[in-house]
Amino acid sequence: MVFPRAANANQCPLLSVVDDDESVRESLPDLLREFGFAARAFSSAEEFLRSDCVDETKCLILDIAMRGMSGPELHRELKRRRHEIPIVFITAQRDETIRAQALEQGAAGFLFKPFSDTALLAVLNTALHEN
Amino acid sequence: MDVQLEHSVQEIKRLQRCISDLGNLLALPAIWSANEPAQIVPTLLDSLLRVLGLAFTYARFKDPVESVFIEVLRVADAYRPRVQSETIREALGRHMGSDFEEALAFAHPRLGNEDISIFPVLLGAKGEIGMIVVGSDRADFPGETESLLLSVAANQASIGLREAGLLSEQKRISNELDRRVAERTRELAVTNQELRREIAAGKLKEEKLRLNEEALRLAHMRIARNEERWRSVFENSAIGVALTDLNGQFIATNPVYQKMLGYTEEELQQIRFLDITVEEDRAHNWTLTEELLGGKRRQFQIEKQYRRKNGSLVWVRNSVSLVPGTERVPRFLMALSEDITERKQAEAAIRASEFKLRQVIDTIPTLAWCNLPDGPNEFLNKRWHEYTGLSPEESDGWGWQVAFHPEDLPPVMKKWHELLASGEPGEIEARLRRYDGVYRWFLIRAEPLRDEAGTIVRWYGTSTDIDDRKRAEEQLRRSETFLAEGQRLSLTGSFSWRVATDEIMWSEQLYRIYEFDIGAPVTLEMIRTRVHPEDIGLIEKMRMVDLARSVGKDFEWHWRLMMPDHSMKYLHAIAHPTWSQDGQLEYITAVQDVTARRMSEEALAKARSELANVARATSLGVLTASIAHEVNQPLSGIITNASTCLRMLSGDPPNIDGARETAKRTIRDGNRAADVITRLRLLYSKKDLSPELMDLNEVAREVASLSLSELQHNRVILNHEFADHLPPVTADRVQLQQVILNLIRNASDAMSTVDDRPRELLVKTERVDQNRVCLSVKDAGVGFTPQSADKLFEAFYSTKNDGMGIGLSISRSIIEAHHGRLWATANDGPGATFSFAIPCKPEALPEAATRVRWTHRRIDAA
Repeated sequence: MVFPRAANANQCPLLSVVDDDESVRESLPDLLREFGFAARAFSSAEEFLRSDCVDETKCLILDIAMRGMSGPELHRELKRRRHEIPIVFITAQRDETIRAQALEQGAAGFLFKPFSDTALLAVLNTALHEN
Repeated sequence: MDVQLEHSVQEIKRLQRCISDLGNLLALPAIWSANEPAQIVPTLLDSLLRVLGLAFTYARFKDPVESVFIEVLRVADAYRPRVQSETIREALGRHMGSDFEEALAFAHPRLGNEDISIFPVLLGAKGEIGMIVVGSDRADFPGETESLLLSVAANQASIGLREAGLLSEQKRISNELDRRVAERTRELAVTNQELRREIAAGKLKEEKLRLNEEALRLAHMRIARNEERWRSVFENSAIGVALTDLNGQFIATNPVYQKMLGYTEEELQQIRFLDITVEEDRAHNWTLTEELLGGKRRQFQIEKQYRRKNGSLVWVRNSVSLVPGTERVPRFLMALSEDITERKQAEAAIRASEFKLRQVIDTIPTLAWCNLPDGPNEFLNKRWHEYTGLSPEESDGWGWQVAFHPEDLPPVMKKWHELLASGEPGEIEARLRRYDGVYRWFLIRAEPLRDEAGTIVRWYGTSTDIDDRKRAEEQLRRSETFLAEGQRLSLTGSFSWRVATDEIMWSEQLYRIYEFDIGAPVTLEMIRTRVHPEDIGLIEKMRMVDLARSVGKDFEWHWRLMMPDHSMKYLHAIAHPTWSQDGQLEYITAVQDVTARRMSEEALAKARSELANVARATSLGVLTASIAHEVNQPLSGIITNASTCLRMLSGDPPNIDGARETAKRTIRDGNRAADVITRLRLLYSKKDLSPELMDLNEVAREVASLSLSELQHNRVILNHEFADHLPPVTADRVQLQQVILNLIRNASDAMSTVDDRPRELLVKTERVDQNRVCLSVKDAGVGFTPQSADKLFEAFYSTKNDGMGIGLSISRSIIEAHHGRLWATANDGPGATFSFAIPCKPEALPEAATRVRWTHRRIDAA
């Protein structure tokens, strides 16, 4: 499935990326735009919460281990604030326990880094449509 | 020692008794003085009967006065009804005639049907005086001393009888003379009176005078005859006779006397008896003489020495009496002299012998003593007095008791009274106080001395100083107890093994360890039955190896026992070789039961191993996760960028600029991933070398001692051959130790499955050349194949089931950082040898080579 590229970026669904790794922040939004999404990147959970994108974000691609607030903590915070944003967790730590815990707590998807563009697209598709 | 002492005591006893008996016999003449022969002989027989304990004594002798035979018999109570003079005469038979000498022709006849040995002794040189016959129930009668006593007794009796005869004859003659002179005087007086009357009457005057003269002539003739007889007695007497005036001037001497002194009669008549009496006897002799002259005594005896004409000395026994004077003859002194030189010499010899014995008794290093039959002391030797410091007066009787330790006296007295009651010999140990108050232990032995009748007459004893022995015994006992207790507490037994003869001596504790009956003879075969089957080969090997090694070194080994109930015991032995005087090799070995220690060590090792595994797994997991995380981040960027790039290029129109940008980011992320790897590698090399000068042997020794426990656990025998005078190396001590430890552990691990041969490991150092030293570790393990030789030092290559393959790789890095080389060779036999050579001359290590680190944790992982 390919999302149609929006003529106007403002009309495209906004996907936000939160990761403390710079290479992810630089590469992933470009790929998402290629998919036809609007994309914003944040280097920490706190930065994302302070931004004006929280309400507009249709799906959040969230790193698990970060300095400061971790991915799962941000997930709980959003739920606490009743922001039901679908979340796709990504992590470089290949730990099945973490994945199981994340999915149990309501994550829409989970990907171990590195992941392919098709795997990402499939997860996003599921996440956006389930929502 | 004891035998010699006993013999001396017997000898002393015999001599003492002999001297005592001799004294008794020699005292007899004093009793006999002026007695009749009929009284002399009975007293002598009584004395002999009593002194010699005879069955009977019998004498037949010629009365010197009356010249008739007199018989006297004394019989001991026990033989009284059976022994009669007739039976004795019968026994002597025809020999009892006047020829006494014949009686000696037969030796030791028996008395009738009685079991009595009879023994005749002659009186007078040829028995001219008579004979004494004595009888004893002892078959060996008479003994040497008894013969001596009998001959002295006979001699005394002869002298006594002769003296009695002479005195009696002298008295008789004197009385006869007096009687005749008085008679004749009376007759002459009557005749004279008649003559006077006749003269007065004028008649027969001449005839009467003639008759009177005739009568006087006859009287003189008679007197002359008597005098002649007296002279004959005097001249022929068997003993010396001398007459002196009251000043001691010789008047007359008989031939025996002259011969005895070597002077002629004329020469003697020129001197006084005091002139030839030795100086020391003169005063006493003259005092006795004066007492005789003064009427204080009727006679006296004196034993003294005369100096002969030739200057030699002669012992004489003089019986001196004062002969009363007559009208014509003034008072004079008469001496009967007997040469007693031989007797004196015998006495002197006995005294000398006794002195010698006394010296022996006094010098033997033993306290000797003699007690009376009822207990009190009679004699203590000089050593006793010197030791105790007690004077003879203080120790006399029961005084000796004060020398005993107060605690020992009651048992000593109890024992002493038991001995007195039983009459049996005995001994006891007790402490005696030395003169300085110190008590020492003595062994006191007592032995009773019995007479022929079995009655105890004396107790003889010795007290031997056994203090040193006693102390040594006590010390030995304590030492043995100490050792046994020490062995029991430390579960350590010991044994000695004579290799050539396989003689084995075990301590009690070793019996307990092997669970053999204590004291049972131990054979190698018995020992083998207890050795764990897997260790039998090891024991045999040890034995052969150590015999072949010409020994001389201490060695130790470990083995296991399999007890009958299949429980296991772990033993640790250290053997020390010794050589006996005959050059036989003997091992003294201490064997410790280390089962409990081994069990706890094993439990500890197991726990440690488990812990290490957990730690290793944990740390590896963490490390892996960390590496994955670090690498996955840039990989993630690379893949995402590459995907983006492809999508941009496949767009319509292709987004070339975007693709170029994402491609650049792909390269950047790729570099980043490489940086992560580089950073990881740097983790291994954070610490610098700390080079210092050190002895490779010492480093190897330290590691060997650290590994010993583990090697023993794996039943590996560690041998080493360290080269002498190895030059020092400059190295990081910890790193070098890590390398050696790693090689030893690898070697040990390589032998973990070896059971068909000893797990022997040799650590060897040597100098390769002027500049390098080498250390090698040789094992008898599984070795390696030529195919795997090249891979041995690669990281993550391992021949072990549980090895990580990091150890040898890191070891090689360390050795190379030390400018050295590490290599492996396959042994000719089983196993492999790993060696490294490093420079031995101190030289600066370049900075670049000092970035090697190897931690203990990674050794465990190896």
